[in-house]
This record gives sequence, structure tokens and C-alpha cells, in this order.
Amino acid sequence: MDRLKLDFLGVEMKNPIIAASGTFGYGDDYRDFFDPSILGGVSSKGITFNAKDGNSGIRVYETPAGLLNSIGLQNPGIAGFITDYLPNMRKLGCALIVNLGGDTMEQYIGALEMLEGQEFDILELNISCPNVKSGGMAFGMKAEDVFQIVSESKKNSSHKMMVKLTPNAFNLVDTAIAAQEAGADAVSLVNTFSAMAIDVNNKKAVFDNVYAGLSGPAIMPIALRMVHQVSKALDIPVCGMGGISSAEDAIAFMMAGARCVQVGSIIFRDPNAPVKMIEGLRLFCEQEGLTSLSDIVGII
Amino acid sequence: MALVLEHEQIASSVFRLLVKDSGNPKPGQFYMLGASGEGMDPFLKRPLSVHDANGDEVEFVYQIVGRGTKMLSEIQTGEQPALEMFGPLGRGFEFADENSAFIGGGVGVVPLYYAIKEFKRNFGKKAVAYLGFSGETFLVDRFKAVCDEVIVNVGGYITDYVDREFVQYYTCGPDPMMEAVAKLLPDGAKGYVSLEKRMGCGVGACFACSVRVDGKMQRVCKDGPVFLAKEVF
Ligand SMILES: Cc1cc2nc3c(=O)[nH]c(=O)nc-3n(C[C@H](O)[C@H](O)[C@H](O)COP(=O)(O)OP(=O)(O)OC[C@H]3O[C@@H](n4cnc5c(N)ncnc54)[C@H](O)[C@@H]3O)c2cc1C
Ligand SMILES: Cc1cc2nc3c(=O)[nH]c(=O)nc-3n(C[C@H](O)[C@H](O)[C@H](O)COP(=O)(O)O)c2cc1C
Repeated sequence: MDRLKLDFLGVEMKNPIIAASGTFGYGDDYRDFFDPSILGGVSSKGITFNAKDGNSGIRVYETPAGLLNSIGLQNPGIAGFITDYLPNMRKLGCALIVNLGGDTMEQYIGALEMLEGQEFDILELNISCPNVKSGGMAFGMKAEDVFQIVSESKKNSSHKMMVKLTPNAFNLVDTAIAAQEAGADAVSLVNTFSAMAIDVNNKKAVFDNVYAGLSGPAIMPIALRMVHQVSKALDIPVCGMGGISSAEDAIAFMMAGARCVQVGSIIFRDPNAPVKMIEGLRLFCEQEGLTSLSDIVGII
Repeated sequence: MALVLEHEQIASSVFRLLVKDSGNPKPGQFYMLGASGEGMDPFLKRPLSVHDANGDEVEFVYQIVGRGTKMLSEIQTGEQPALEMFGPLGRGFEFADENSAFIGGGVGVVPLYYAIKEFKRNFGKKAVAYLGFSGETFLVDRFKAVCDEVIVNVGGYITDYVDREFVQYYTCGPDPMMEAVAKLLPDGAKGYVSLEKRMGCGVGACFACSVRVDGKMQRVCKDGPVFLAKEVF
């Protein structure tokens, strides 16, 4: 038996490494480096009900060991995704996660309805998006808002649902519990940290939207702590992420309670990072005499 | 890890870097390069156009702009663990059997050299290079060796010198220069522009470098960096 294999929400995955939403396009862009079928799974670029052109101005900005992004969910909209991307994504040969965002509850529901009957493994509900009705405050900030969006989403979808939490929540553990109570099958965390950069020479914010999301190795220790806290508080499985750059980091997230992990920004720096991580996980199992890597989940 | 064969300064802040690589790039394609090795800062790699290539070497010419290119300039020759690169990436120039103008501004001249070489290797038609610099010139002698004619301007507008008879042209440089070129040449002319935009991944996965081209959002790294001039301006 393969020591890296796991079952996540009834989906068999070859290993716990999933390409994170927004960093792996629709699964094909890294083919020159490796076949995506070696991964445990792929999470699609965040899809919204309507097509989006994304944000104006600078969209990525480096920081030491990380980056800020303000892509603005550029995507073809749910209908375009279903016709132009989903069929190909189904052939990637690993677990397929569809990441969904929205500006209003109605848009989430509309998109979920369109996804009914479509074949994929897990729906990842991205609730870091600003809620137009709450003056732009993200859906994931408050426990009661999380409960509402997740329960409504569950009612309108028969897919396994993993709720992607925002680390910017007023109380992260409360939002995680709210997601579980509302029927989430799993949670994933963390999305990016709200952050900013200022161009001091031009005396203006770097991003047109002023704030942007911080990701990459810079956030890893905080993300790890958050995954640990949430894993201790929940009964449903947790998928961890935030700055993972090596097999060792992935192992740390699993020890903190994550069943599987997502890997994002590091691939921009090293397109072969996921391959190295999978090799590293295998090596770790051999060194530690583990018959299943999953045995380390939550040992801390 | 990369094997650096040659690395030299060719103008006050411009460097030429020859690296072993068998990627067989096409003219107009680029690579992502970084000089921080195992370190994480700077985090992202920098896009640099192919200046020249043969089966197992690729050459870059770059200007020091900020931290990334500064660190790159400090890389020595030999096996260099700190230098990491991947490519070739993106879509390059398409040539036609027509007399062609190659119009570059500043470091925008860099990719045109390989373009002209490949054009001349495949077609018998004329290649004229128009090279505009704001101050110091560089690479001019190289262009002279492969072009039918090279026109250089320092400190002015290179577009003032471009022959309007060309029906096929290639341009790379500051956006206003490329736009001026596109407006200058006749409507029926087929022009290619090579765009520069901040990139995240360089392979099309992150949508950081999207621009509106031909009415839709396109990624400079994957759908470009070379686009049809009439679809951009
Ligand atoms: C397709 C393409 C080909 C290029 N080819 C060449 C070349 O052959 N020779 C050359 O000298 N330059 C070239 N450039 C520009 C070169 O990428 C930038 O000068 C370089 O990224 C600056 O990095 P830095 O760390 O020195 O500057 P910083 O300003 O410190 O960089 C900060 C960030 O902004 C990005 N950035 C800054 N300026 C640019 C720019 N003009 N275009 C894209 N990203 C930028 C950097 O990559 C980095 O992510 C090319 C750009 C593109 C998009
Ligand atoms: C360029 C970029 C785009 C992203 N787009 C999305 C997205 O569309 N949906 C989403 O849920 N998360 C998105 N994210 C967040 C990542 O999926 C991930 O949660 C975050 O980057 C932390 O992981 P990392 O540090 O490994 O990158 C994006 C991140 C980056 C860097």
C-alpha cells in the first residue's frame, strides 16, 4: 500500500499535496514541469457567477519571503468554466476541487445550482470574498455570516463542501465552528492575510484596492498556529495551507491537524516544488517507518 | 542551479549573461530568472527575454532596475547554485516573407536581435533595425552584423526615423514608443508588439500579468508576451 495515500471526504487521494486555488490556473499550466496527476488534487482558480476581468493596477507585489496579490478573481464565470475548463480539469488525474467565490449570497447559490449535476470531487467555498450587502466586509469575517452562507450553500448543493476560511476573521475558531454547524464537510485554511504596501516615493498605495492578500513562506508560522487551533476545535477534517514550501512544512501542518495540505505561492518560485514535496514525504515515511503518513495527523 | 558561461557588463547598468540551456527558445520568448537560490528573498523570479540562443546556450541582456536584477548582476561564472531559471516561456514572434522593420527602445532592443537572426536564417528579405536609446547605446555592433541596415537614435524619438513603407514590423520597448510605432505604420501593416507586465508565475497560472488585448483579458506570460499590434493599440 502507498504510504502517502489518504481518504479525504470519501475521495481517494494519492498523497496529501493539493495545488492551491489561484496558483495553479485550471491545472494545465505547469505541465512542462510535471504531470498534474502526480498531485493529490488540484483546486481551480476561484470561479464566480459572472465572469470577472480582475482588478486594475499592479496585481502582485513581492515582500520578503512572500507576496501580496490583488488579482481580483479574474475568471470566465461559472458558465464559461463549466463549458471551457471543467471537462479538461476532469482529466487531470487527481482529486478535483472547484473553488467558488461570490459578491452576494444569490451569486453563490446561482453558481452552485449550475454546478449541480457536474462531476467533480469537492466544492471549496471561498468565503474571503467581500459581501456587497455588508459594505464589502468578507462573508468569512463573522460566525453568524459564515453560518448563513454555508447553510444556504449546503441546501443548494449536493457536492461535498469544504469551506475555505479567512485568517482575517474576527474570531477564526468561531467561524470554523460556525461552518461545521452549518453542515460543512471540511474546512480549508488559510486564505491570504489582508495586508498592504505603500510606494513611499510616489506617496501612494501600491494596489488600486489599497489592501491585498499576503501569502507565501512569510505567513507559514501564523497559518500553522491557526490550523492547529481550528483542528483542535473541529470534528470535521481540515485541509491546511499558508506558506508551505517544503515537505517538512507540509508535515508540520499535518502534525498540527491537517489531513491534507494545499501548496500555493511557492510554485511561482520553484515550479518543481510539489514534486520535491511528494518525494520528501515519501522519504519521511521511510525514515520514520510509517506505513501511512496519515498517522501523524494531529499528533501535536 | 545554472551553469554560467559568460557574464559581463556591456554598458553602465547593462549586463550580458550567457547560460547553458538546451530549451531551444523561439525569438520573443522569455525565461524567468532569480538569483536568490535557496533563500526566499526576493521571492519571485524576473522575466528576461532571450537575446540569442543556439542548441545548448541561451543569452540574456538586462538592465539593473532594482533588487532582483542587481543580485543577478553579482552572479559569477561557473556552476551557480544561487541562479535559478526556467523557460522558455510564452509565445514569440511570427515571421513572414516580407521586408521587416525591427523597432526597439532601450532594453526593448534585446529580443529583436535573436528575432532578426532567425528571420534572416529563414527568409531572403530585408531586415532593418531601428534602435532608440535614451543615453548610452549597447548591442549596436551585434545588430550591424545581422541586419541589412541599422538606424540608431539617442535621446530622440526613434519613430521619427522609421520608413513607413514596411508592411511587417516587430517592436519592443516602452508602451508609448510601441503605440507610436503602431500608429505610424499603415493600417494594412502587420505588426507584433512585445509587452512587459509584472508577473507572478510566468506560466499562465496566476493571472497577475493580464492585459486587455483584442477585447479580452489575456496573460502576457502565456498568451503573449508577443501580441498583434492592432489588437493592443
Ligand atoms: C516578457 C518580459 C521580458 C523582459 N525582458 C527583459 C530583458 O530582456 N532585459 C531587461 O533588462 N529587462 C527585461 N524585462 C524587464 C525585467 O523583467 C525587469 O526589469 C525586472 O523584472 C526588474 O526586476 P528588479 O528586481 O531589478 O526590479 P524591481 O523594481 O525591484 O522589481 C520588483 C518587481 O517588479 C517586477 N518588475 C519591475 N519592472 C518590471 C518590468 N519592466 N517588467 C516586468 N516586471 C517588472 C519585478 O519582476 C519584480 O517582481 C522583461 C520583462 C518582461 C515582462
Ligand atoms: C496569485 C494568487 C491567487 C489566489 N487566488 C485565489 C482564489 O482564486 N481563490 C482562493 O480561494 N484562494 C486564492 N488564493 C489563496 C491561495 O489559495 C492560498 O490560500 C494562499 O495563497 C496561502 O497559501 P500559500 O502561502 O501556499 O500561497 C490565491 C493566492 C495567490 C498567491
